[in-house]
Amino acid sequence: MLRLEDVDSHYRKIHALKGISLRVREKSICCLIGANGAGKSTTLMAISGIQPISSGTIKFGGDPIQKLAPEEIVRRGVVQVPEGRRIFPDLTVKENLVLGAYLRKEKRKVAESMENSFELFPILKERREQMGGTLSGGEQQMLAIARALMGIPRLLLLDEPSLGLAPLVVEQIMGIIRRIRDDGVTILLVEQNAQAALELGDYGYVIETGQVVLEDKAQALLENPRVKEAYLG
Amino acid sequence: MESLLDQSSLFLQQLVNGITLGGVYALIAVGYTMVYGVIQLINFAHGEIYMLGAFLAYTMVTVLGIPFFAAFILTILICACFGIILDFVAYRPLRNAPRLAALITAIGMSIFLQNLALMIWGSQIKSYPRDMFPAIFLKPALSIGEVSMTWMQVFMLSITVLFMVILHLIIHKTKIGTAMRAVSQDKTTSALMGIGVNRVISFTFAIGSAMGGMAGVLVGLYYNAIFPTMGYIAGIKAFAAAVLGGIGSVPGAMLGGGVLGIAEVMGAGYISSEYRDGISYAVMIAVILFKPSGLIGRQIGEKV
Repeated sequence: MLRLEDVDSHYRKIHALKGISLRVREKSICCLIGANGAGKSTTLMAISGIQPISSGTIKFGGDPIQKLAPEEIVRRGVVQVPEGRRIFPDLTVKENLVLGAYLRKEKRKVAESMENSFELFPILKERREQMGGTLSGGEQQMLAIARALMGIPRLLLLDEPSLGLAPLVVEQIMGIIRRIRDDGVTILLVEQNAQAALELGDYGYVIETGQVVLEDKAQALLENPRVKEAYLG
Repeated sequence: MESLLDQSSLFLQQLVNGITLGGVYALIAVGYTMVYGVIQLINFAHGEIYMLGAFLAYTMVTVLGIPFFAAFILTILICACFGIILDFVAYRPLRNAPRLAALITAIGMSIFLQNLALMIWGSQIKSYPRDMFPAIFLKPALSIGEVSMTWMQVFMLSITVLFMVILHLIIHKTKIGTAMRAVSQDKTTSALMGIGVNRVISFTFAIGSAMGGMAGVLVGLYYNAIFPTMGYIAGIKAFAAAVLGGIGSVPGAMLGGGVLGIAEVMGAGYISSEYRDGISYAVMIAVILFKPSGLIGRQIGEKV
């Protein structure tokens, strides 16, 4: 469904991605694990069209998307939940959700999607008139995911959804991600919390300093001594 | 005449004048503050859009013979386009450049547009022909004792209030307005939502410039004087109003405009009319010294 081939990208003078190649299969959860600064977020930003790439191709459903504007990529169904949730702090929960559906025209269906998000995350319904900035970390993460789902993604890019959350909340979020996959959405999950990600995922890539150093089935990565030592501690 | 007025009616009369003038400042200030909100740029060429608005309506009425109200509406639309073009030509190429570069460009655009107007219309002060609108405009609409308000003032104030309400509704009740607020908070995330950030910025320039052009026509009418440098002083005053209210805050710009207009007219009436312009500067300096975030602005870490 998504294919990166030899993607290079520079951030200011740093060579952030050095020939990244990876594949995300339809209706699977693909994990991207690695240390801080390995290039995980840069990869997602490149897929979303925010971070320009200097060479290589990014194909979604067979079509190259690396030259498209971010909005066009969203229109095709690739939606990202960015690192740190990036909720609009001075917009209400409802307004945040409305913006997730920015490119959708049919008002009735958007309203339906909003009802669905409230079903998936009842806490958001309670807080719908509250400013996004007043929510707790876990609630903000839920809002960020709900907001992305408002865009009806075919491929959901999740950047560190567990970051800064209590273990119980992490479990809850991971459960939600599984549910989203079961609803037929393909997921590319970036995580520092390798354990949680690989337990959930089908397939995984390990990246270090902008390169893929290892790829395998998620289960196999969990048992891989190198992964165990470096990321599972 | 003035000696006949007792103190309270002098005060009330000045208040009426101040509110009318303040409304116009608010119209201009909104343009500064909205653009600052979305791209953190003080668009110093905004005053020139206001000036161009005054001249455009003038040319339409005197040269092309278009009726005033039609010319007024056309001017608003053309100024909206000017705003979009200004952003496209001058600021968009500098979107990722250091902010100082865009600021200097803004000053450059201001000087360029001023001189362009000088070339097209000359340096002589122009005025709208008196017969272009019904004579009733100059007659008092209501007078209570010695205090009166002309139809012109009623017209200006209603237009101001009407468009402030429309602006508020756009910002808070429409999707593009929500997108504007989103872009002002976080551009990258806005783009990730599928919002065309540049389109939203263009829209912001269009709205701000439309209101600026409208203000130009209104002031041109009110003072009956149109000249190439009129945008400079009005621009600085509206900027002061935006700073007073809290730069980036639309209600702040409205409030700041009102307060500044009243302060200026009161100062001119009670102290000396020669200090008219000085009062705006004094207000701006006082705000920067004592409350840099403005009356209802939020704290901002960075300064231009």
